[in-house]
Amino acid sequence: MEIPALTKGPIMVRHLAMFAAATAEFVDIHYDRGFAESRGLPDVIIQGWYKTAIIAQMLKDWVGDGTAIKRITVQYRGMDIAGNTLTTGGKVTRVSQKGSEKQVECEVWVENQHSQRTAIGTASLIL
Amino acid sequence: MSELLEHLSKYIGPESEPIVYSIDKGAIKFFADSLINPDPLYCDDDYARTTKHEGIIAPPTFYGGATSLRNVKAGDARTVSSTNIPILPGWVGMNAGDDFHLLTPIRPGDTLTSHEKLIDAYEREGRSGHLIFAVVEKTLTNQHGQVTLVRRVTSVFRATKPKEGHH
Repeated sequence: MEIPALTKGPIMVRHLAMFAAATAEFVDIHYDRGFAESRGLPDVIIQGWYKTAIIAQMLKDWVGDGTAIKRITVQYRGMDIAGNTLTTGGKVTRVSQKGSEKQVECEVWVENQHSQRTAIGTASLIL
Repeated sequence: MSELLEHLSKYIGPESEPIVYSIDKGAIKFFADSLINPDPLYCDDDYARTTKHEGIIAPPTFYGGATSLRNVKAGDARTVSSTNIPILPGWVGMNAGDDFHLLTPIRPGDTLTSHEKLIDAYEREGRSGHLIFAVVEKTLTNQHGQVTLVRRVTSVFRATKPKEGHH
């Protein structure tokens, strides 16, 4: 079963600067283009956590309750730069019934507009 | 064992000084705004009261923003990692992954205390050469003593110049 995709973007430098403040994690490669380029990067980089947070939004929008999400594990496999449009996706891999609760395991991912899957992971939900 | 792995391994175990966050509605709304997420659960009291949560809660993975910090200044490197472990010259690090365990909803008015420690360091041969991984665990506990969230952050380090012996 596929989880309805969620598309975000283009994600601009201002969103990355806002996310830095919204998480209290100020790391210059995420909002300072000159600094990022001085480190050999092509542009400022979208935070990995940003990708995990939009995967969480996709799951919340799908089941209607964010507190059903118990665990999200994501590997950042590729860099995304400011201006990219990201689409999250996922599919259910296992459903098990435990008493009155249903435990749902999913594969999740983030793809950019070049069809590069730059984050992959798993999520566990209890419904 | 590489020099960096040996260095990191010495820091595994002890907890660093905690970071304290006071959560308010503004910080929750701002996190959602940065994600271009218009969900009224994160900003509209009247709507949020009609949900099973009976009020605003934070989006999953949020645990405090720059204005939430109580015992350190915004911009302090300890807010990224309070372990403050010095990385040796000649190595560059990136965030390689996140593992969020979401246990108790976070609400406006919560005070969260983050305890953090390095729990693992290991090495692997990657496509781009020799890589060192470090895993930091942050445990966020609310004012009721409930663990709200555990975040394990994996960082990957690579040498900025190829070392002799690695091709």
